[in-house]
Amino acid sequence: MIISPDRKDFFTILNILGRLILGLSFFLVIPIIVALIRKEASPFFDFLITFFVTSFLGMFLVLLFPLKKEPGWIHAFFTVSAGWLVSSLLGAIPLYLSAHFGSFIDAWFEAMSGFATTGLVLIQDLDHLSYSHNMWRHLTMFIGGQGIILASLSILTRARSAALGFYIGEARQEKILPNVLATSRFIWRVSFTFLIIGVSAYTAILFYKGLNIERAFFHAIWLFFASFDTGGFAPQAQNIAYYHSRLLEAVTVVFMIMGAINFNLHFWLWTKRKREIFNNFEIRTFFLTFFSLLILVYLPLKGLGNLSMFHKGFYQLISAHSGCGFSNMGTIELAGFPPLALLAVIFAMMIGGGVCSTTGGIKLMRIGIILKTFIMETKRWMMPFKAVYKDRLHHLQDIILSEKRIKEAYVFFSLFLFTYVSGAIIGMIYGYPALFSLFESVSATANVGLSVGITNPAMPAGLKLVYIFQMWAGRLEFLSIFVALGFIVSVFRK
Amino acid sequence: MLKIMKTRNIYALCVVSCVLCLGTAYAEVTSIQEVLSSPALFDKKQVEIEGEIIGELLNDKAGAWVNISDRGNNIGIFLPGQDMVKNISYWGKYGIIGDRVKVTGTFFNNCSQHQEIDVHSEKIEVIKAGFKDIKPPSPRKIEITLALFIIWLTITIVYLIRLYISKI
Repeated sequence: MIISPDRKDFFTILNILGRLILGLSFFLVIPIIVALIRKEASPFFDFLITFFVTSFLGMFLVLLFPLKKEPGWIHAFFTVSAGWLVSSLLGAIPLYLSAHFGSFIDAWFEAMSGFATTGLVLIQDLDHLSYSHNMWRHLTMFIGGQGIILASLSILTRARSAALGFYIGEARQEKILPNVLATSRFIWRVSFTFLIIGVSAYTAILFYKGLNIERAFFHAIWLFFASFDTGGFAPQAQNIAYYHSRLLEAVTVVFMIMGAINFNLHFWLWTKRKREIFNNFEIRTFFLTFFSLLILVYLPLKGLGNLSMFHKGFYQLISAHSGCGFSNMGTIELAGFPPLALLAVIFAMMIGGGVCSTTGGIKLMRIGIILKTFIMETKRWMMPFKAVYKDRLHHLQDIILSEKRIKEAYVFFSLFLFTYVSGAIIGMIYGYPALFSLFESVSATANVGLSVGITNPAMPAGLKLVYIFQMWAGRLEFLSIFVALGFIVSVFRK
Repeated sequence: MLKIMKTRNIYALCVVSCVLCLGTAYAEVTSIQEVLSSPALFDKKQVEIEGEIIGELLNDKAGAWVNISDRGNNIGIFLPGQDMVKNISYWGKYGIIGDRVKVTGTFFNNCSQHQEIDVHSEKIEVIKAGFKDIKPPSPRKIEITLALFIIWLTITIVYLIRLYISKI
């Protein structure tokens, strides 16, 4: 089949993109309100400028490119790719205007890091950032974690038939409810419920810690966005270490894990069998990988003492595995981890959390399938030649491990591995040590956000662009980007 | 003669004791960046570091915490009591540059009490007062906003009219 895009396809894509951008502009009202409440004059104008630009662009595209064709899969995938890119560029405007970034690329990096729920930072003097700018930074993670596409479509859609394409384009391959839009609304409902619980818990802890009630409330919202959406931004430069609170760290661990769990599992636990948490394939894979890697982290840290090993090793590993990126230590201290411990953290970041969650990485399901196929192949070789052997796994229901599922797992595994290694090689070309380059590349691609110090305002601009691409590609799990590129190639071939 | 020798010995002993006391009381003056870059070198030693005090006083069951920042490097300071910061007037945040303080205390690379890198403070003194630093929006920013508002209003009216027409 030859893909032959025409003028109507572009009109459709640009129309949907316009709706998406319009949806994004509504979110900009939130930091405007915060700036008004907090009497932050300059930030107020920063967000007003961005709101006018974003809203204008959205309306302009919708008016100039009316919907001439019912959106299909190709349109959905192209819009998802372009939508993330355009949103991050627009989201960078208020950050750049804040004068806390050395260049627009730095601001774009930060915006992409937020929307991709990564958490790598290039901001300077974070401790003096306004409340409205901090609100926007953390809001990008909430939007990115829940999906810009699904947010806008849930409210603005006329593109119901392409909704599945948008959903899968955003790297969510499992439907929770038969109707994709109902699925997206369920995700929002779960998120808002956890929002109320999380913000209440964080506010109480921070108020007890000594923050005044207003500051405690804002920090609570931001920490919730960062933990549940596994983004990892924090309102202070020292990240979680700023608060010196074990209780706060423990609560962040709970919400990190909640965010890293498959939303399908949330649905089953909420509405059906609670025992599923013990039988679920992804949860079992998580226990296997996490505790195996914990041994690798603890062994080189054993000289520190039991409490320190637990405080530093356990927290960093759960933060890496869940894809959150919260850190209770500085980058210099993390860079000083023994190589074996650092490698274990890298493996944890590579794996990530559940499919259809807020995390990045290869995902527990695919790692579990790959491990299972090793066992399957070994058993197959031990059986008689003509014997037919099929294995199964339990993920909400019993599923036969088909060739299609296995192939899909290996394809995504290969794509992620290729990107991890490519980014590491580019880091080494720029002169950074091999292990640190691999760490930073994996952190960007798997949307984790932990850093050993390579990511800083002084790093080469080329490497910033590479990490921006890696964050974008990792968040969308490559598929929609490849489809978009294929679409562009077919235009030139025509 | 014996009496003179005993007196000299006593004087010598006093001088040696003073030198030893001074030696242990002398704190190594350094920066936050230096201690964080070479933590093993400063572990369990007395240090003197400077930085802007940021955020707020944080409670702890055995004392309190403050955080100081210097040229992009931050560190937590553990205080045995909240009285140590009673002279702090400005805490660094948006629109406020915090008091610059000099902290004298013991640096721990891996504090057994808190399991983190910190300084247990013995003395905090304000060396430079903080101040309010709210920058108003530039006239150019306001002009751009007004111009964009007019353009935005125009297109919004057109958009709403089109939306209304498509619905009737």
